[in-house]
Amino acid sequence: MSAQEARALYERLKREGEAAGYYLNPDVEFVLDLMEGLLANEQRYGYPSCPCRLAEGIREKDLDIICPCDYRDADLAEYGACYCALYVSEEIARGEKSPQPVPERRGTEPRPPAGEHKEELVGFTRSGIPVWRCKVCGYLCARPQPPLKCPICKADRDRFERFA
Amino acid sequence: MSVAVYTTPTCGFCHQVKAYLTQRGVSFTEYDVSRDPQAAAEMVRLSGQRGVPVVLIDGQVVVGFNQPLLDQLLARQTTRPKLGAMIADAGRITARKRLPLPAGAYVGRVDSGSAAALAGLQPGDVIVQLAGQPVRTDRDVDRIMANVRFGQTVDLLAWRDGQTIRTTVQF
Repeated sequence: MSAQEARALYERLKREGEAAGYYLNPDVEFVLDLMEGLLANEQRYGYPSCPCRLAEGIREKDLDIICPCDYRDADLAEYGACYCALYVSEEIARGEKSPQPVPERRGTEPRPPAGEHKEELVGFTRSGIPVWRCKVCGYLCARPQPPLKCPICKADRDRFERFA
Repeated sequence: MSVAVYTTPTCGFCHQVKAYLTQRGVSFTEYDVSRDPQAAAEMVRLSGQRGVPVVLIDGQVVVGFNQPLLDQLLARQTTRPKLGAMIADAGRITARKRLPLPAGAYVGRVDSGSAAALAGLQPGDVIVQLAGQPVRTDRDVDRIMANVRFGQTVDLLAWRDGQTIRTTVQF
């Protein structure tokens, strides 16, 4: 893991984020530190789990904290930054506001237990093809299986859920 | 005051919170929860969550780099007037460095801008009397300081290179 890799990851997240309306923290040194954290976690666990949360090390248990985490959008909307302050609001990105402490949202809202929705609630097209929703960016598609990577936000296949 | 910081080496706020505590002169024990399963379990039990950093100040839990809350909890601990000098038992310094010092509190370092600095205290001085009471070891200073209030001015006698100097300390 090198400074160049951290820099490359930073450039990629910045480019992809901005194309989708997300902004990285303007403090580049702080972000590069987080990039090293993401790379370290990827090396350690096999997936880039949140640098600011203690991972279990089991992908199924950590799916919600793989960066970008399931809590990013809610925290951006409420606090103007995600828990790590990697992603920030446009005002903060432009330097008009500074990031405030973000309380940990994970675990404060009861997560719907798996299998809560009955099969008939799950969405299909009229032709019977299941509809999948990316839990990271909300992208919807109808196909027999979710894509390997979200074409919009590049999240992995297991971040998709059946759309009801 | 006991301060513990639960961190992972990957988190930006962990680095910031440690830098902040160090800057404020707060000493703390750090636990890397990504390497220390026992500390990790303790952090989850104390804070009910897995986000880092978690700062524990005398049993109070702070999740994240919440500077206003840290300031509030740390302020409770530092509302007493401070001399602002590192002191040690002069007797032990005499024994260790073979310096001919009188009994008292040996001044090792003076914090800039502190009450001690404004009183003209210098490293190498030995406090021999404070607020009219004799000082024979560094512990005497702690004992006397426990009764000092903000706004109070106290006399201080110190030994410096064989001379006794007299000054006043304004708290």
